[in-house]
Amino acid sequence: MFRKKILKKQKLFFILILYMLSHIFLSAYNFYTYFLSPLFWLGFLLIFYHQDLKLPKKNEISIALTISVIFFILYLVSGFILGFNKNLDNHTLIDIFKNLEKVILPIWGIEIVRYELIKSNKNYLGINILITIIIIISEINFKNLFLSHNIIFLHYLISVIIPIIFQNILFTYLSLNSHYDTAIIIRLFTEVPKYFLPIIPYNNWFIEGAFAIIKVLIIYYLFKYFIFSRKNIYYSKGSIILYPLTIIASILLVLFMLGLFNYKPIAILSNSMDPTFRRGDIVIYKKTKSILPGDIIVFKYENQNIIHRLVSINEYYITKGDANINVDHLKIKKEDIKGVYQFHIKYLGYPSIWLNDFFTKEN
Amino acid sequence: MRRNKIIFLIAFLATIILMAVGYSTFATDFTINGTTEITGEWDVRITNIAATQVPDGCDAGTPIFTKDSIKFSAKLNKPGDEIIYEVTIENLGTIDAELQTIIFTEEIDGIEEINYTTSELKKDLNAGDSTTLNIMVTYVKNTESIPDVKTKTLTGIIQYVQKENS
Repeated sequence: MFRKKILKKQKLFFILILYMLSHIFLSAYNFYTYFLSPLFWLGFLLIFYHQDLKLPKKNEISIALTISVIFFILYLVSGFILGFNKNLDNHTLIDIFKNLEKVILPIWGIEIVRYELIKSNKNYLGINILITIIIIISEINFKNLFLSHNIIFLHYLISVIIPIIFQNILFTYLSLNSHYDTAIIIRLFTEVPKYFLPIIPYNNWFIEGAFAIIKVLIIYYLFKYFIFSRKNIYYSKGSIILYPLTIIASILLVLFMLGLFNYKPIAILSNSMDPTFRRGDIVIYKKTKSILPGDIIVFKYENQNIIHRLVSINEYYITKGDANINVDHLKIKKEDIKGVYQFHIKYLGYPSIWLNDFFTKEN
Repeated sequence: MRRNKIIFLIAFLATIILMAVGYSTFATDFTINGTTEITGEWDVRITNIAATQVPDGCDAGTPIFTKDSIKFSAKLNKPGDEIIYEVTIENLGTIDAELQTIIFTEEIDGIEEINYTTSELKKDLNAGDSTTLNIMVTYVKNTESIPDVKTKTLTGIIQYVQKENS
């Protein structure tokens, strides 16, 4: 019996390693994505999936379903605020089928393998971390990594890689405490809709990444304190409140960065407004078009945000940096103006500058 | 246990803040459409890349492209050889677009004897329009050295954004 268990563990580990290696070397090819990988997991499900697995608890499944449906509805509703885009992945029924089989079978197979391996190594943190890392590697599309400019890589890092890392930590946690169905339900509801909806909400890379990891924290919190806690012990009130506070703070930060409030931040890259504020500061500006000479205004010129003092208004808006001798020779129109300076925070913009320097330097 | 939780939450917040910093540095303006109607469809993409002139003994390789990037390796035989790649970009949506980024990066070990030039790319790409970018990869004529490796690998990013007021 013991020997049989060891053999099963070895087989599953071998399957996982094989999948990771094939993913690293073959994920750039459509043949692998649409045929070999789904076939691999279909074979696994048909050949190996006949274990005497315990069923999940009803409340775990129902909360997984409830959370998934709520997130799905929120995802659709976000389109009414942000707008919709036509789904490029989805033109015909065959496209939909191809996309579904490429995503559903691997999700199903991976979650079963994860659950079985984690369950049999419950007390070995190192092995659990290793399994999670292998799955993370198996879910990163290497094609996008190799064909990337620095900035495109940053987009991919934020919208895909960081969420994959957080999601896999969550799914490993769920495997440790629940059943693989829980993770499969959550994954199917969050990862599959984009493959069959004819239109999808317009999400930019930051929204995608930020909300994906906030979602992870919400699911973790709900399971930890409202499902798994019954098995365990008493939690202090402070402990229960800390997570919602973090979640709310994160959501507010994301909305603030997106400019959904009346105020928006901007990092200062030059000293042209010295001594009012300097390179490395963060300026908070108010979105308005009602401005007067003397105001410090934020405007867009040739795809760059500039923040200078308004000197006069003629045919165009004339601006000047406080540290500059001459006025700017720019033809600024009313529609270029984004807002008026409110206050600044010293040094907070430096991470933004470092990132800009790092990602915009030539390879 | 409590310490682990605090560390986890700090790590989470730090990640969100770093993502936000990245966004504030590189974001183009985020436009809230704020309407339940689908008023426009965004679909600007590279639809083709093809080598149009390949001299004898040269190899244009198999250029690959995504919606907004291209990559190809050009193998040239002798000084004076030139391969022209034609990249087609189309606005298949209903929203007018304008060029935001065009960046080319050479492979780090690329040889100096082979250089490249690009034609000017149309700045405005209105709905339904298409445009072509020509990239000429040339083996410098009066070079004194003939390197062993005569291949140049080039990666390009071409990004259009929604035209203001469109």
